[in-house]
Amino acid sequence: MENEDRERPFGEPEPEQILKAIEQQRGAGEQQIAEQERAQYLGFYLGQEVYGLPLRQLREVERVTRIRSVPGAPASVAGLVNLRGEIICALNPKVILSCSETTLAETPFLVVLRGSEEPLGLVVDSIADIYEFSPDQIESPLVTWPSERAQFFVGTVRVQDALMGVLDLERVIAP
Amino acid sequence: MSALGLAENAPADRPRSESGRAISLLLFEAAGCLMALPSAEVVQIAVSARDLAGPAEAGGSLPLIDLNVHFAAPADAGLWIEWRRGDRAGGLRVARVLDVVSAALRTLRPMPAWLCAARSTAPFWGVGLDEEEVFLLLDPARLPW
Repeated sequence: MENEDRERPFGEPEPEQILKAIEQQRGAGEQQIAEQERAQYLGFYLGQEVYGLPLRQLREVERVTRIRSVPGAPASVAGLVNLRGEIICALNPKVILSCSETTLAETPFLVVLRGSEEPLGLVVDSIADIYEFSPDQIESPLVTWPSERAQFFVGTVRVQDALMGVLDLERVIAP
Repeated sequence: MSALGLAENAPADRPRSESGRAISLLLFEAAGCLMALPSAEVVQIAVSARDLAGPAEAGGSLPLIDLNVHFAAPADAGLWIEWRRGDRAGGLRVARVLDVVSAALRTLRPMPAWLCAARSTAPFWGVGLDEEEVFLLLDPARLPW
């Protein structure tokens, strides 16, 4: 895991850049999606794999230095994060997605979600890039994935030299 | 409390020290985590469980729970908190007692749904912030005495 940053083909955008892109996407927004036009996705790494979420479903991205673990919590909950006075429940998507390695990076990022009933975020190892593609470019989840993993995906899409798993956020965050 | 959305997560007997806007909390560390309970429910803090008095009607003995052991954390020598709410009482072993703080009720939040779903987190009824630190609000009445 410690060598991952050097192996990654993309430069990481700064959280401020991502926030700007999220705001632009929100402004352009919902109509584009309804018309099946291209939408922007945040690509992020969990281990060596790239995953994506629509920017319109995200609120912000922050690097986190402290995640308070909760005794007795399920493994899918990484802990609680104080984000400028707001307590965010931070999920470990590696556990939810049945990744082979579930340990979090030392200085991970918190992807804070929009529209959830309570403040919720996903802890990811690092940010890959922002991608833009249309829904018809998304292919079915890999047939080799077991159903307990495939259920969390809308599908896959090829970005640069990697295959990105596009997540079905509602399923991922359902307790 | 219901106006803050905390009612369904609050202990059955409300903490006695609760005012309209703030509550006095004893902050302590146990199971590698920052926890808090209402100061008004703390009778004493003792080095040894033998020092906890217990109610006379119970023959002076108190049920005891080591919070590290309860939450499957490594055992740690620490202090004992004597807790009492009405006719319920017990001794809680914690790693460290940190402070007594006044927490504004508006800053307290119910437990996130993801944590409510787990039976093992049932003793916690909410979360709060002490400056930068997140703490869990412990309701000792929910522990298996």
